[in-house]
Amino acid sequence: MKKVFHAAFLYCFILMSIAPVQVPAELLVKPSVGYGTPDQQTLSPGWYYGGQAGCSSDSPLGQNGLFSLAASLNALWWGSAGSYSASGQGSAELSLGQGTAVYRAGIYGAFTDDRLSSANPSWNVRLRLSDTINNPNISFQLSADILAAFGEPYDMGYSTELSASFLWGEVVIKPLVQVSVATFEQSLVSWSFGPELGLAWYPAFPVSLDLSFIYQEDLKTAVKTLQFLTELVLQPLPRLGFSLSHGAQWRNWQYTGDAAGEVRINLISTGSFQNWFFVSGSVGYDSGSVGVSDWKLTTGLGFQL
Amino acid sequence: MKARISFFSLLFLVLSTALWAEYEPRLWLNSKAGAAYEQVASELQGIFDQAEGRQIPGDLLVDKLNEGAAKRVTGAQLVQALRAEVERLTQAIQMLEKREKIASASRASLLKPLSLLLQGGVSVDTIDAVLEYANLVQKPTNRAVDALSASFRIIAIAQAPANLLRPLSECLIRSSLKETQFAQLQSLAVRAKGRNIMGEPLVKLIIGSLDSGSGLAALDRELQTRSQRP
Repeated sequence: MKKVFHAAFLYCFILMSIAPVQVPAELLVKPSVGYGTPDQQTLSPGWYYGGQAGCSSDSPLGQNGLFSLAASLNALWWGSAGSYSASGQGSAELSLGQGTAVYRAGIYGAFTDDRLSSANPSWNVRLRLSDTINNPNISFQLSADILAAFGEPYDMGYSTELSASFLWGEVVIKPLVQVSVATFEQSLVSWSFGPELGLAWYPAFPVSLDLSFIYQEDLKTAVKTLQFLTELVLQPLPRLGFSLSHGAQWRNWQYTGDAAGEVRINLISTGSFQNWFFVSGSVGYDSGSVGVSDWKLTTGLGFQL
Repeated sequence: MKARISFFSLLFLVLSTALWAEYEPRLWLNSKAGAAYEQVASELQGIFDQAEGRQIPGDLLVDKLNEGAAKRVTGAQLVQALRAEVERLTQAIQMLEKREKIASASRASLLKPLSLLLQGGVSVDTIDAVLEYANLVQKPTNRAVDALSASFRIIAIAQAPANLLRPLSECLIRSSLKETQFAQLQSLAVRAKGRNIMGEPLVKLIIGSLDSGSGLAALDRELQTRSQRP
């Protein structure tokens, strides 16, 4: 566990050091403490400690290019279970703007290690290419991904995505189609197709509402998944913000859901430093006999430099 | 003959009403809310005379008086607040007078937001520079005032450095967005903040996207891309 933290902080330190002074670089640290249950229904509620640390930097390349580096680590130590769960991500991305088009190429890595579950640690590396065409009220994007995975039921993944964003009054309408294939030792594991529709409401007052409908059908295993996600963010005062979100999922028509909310109070704010206090809660549930499957109540501080 | 008499009677009525129309804030002193400030009536009268001389629309002062009365401020506080408001409105009038020819909206509708910006701590130099920029790129003054008001709120929500007010306002003025869309960027800032994208990076993201000819749809996509970043 210590090694993971040390590696993440070393990466952030190197990232902040190599970024030239004029390059916008950010560092985020969110220590937290909470009480609740992990995802496993068999464990009783207990205290947990952890947080999030992340950093990113953007370096301009010539007139129209940008090179971005980012890394983050989330970790929770469960006192009652004497175990931890951790996940981390890192990315390097190159983008080039030419007229109304933006070309992006990136490499993204992620790992998950949940010692509370019986699952093995897993990690993956993904290469992504995308082309975005932006106009005042419309944006189109075509992207392709190749993924190498370790510790998963598949070892390679290939996907392509076509999406659009249209502005209609105060609403951005976002249709998307994705086709993906996963293989293990060159044998087909899954082949899925998924349309998605997202709606983002931008009224003339400080409220943001997001709705997403995602359907995915695995043509090999015949597993059908339908998701309906909502997120509401409010900022009634410059120092006070709320967010509420809910995710509903039907997997072969078996329902599971999760809801989360956060209150955020900004404590210190200067041009280059932000500090806030937050209290958040989340609950996971299903339609079967289990009812509430997990819940968490977390509080902590956020520091952004 | 009858029609002519009717016309002149009507003209006389209109002219006499205009000539004898009382400056609105003075009428406020006789209202129920104004009666509570009888002890500072003479000081208020002095401010009204000054404001009328400077051609400050009376309804703007009435709004301020009603606001003070609703908050039940003391007479001394009301006098102080009104005096400050008159000073701000005078500064706003002076800034607009230089560009009266290019302003498409009525002057009165621009005075209130300009006064609010001055009250919020925005310097006369910053406002003046943004109004001058609009003049330079041949955009109407009301677009510049709308851009300043929206940028002020975006910077407050994003908690970005105050010195970004001018570049953000100038970006909105030259952007392809309509004036009515400026305020929508507030909810974009709220959404971004919910994803820990705030401060200077958020303002630079907005400026970069709008300057490349994009609009809200592309900004929404950019936020989505950035929030997927580790």
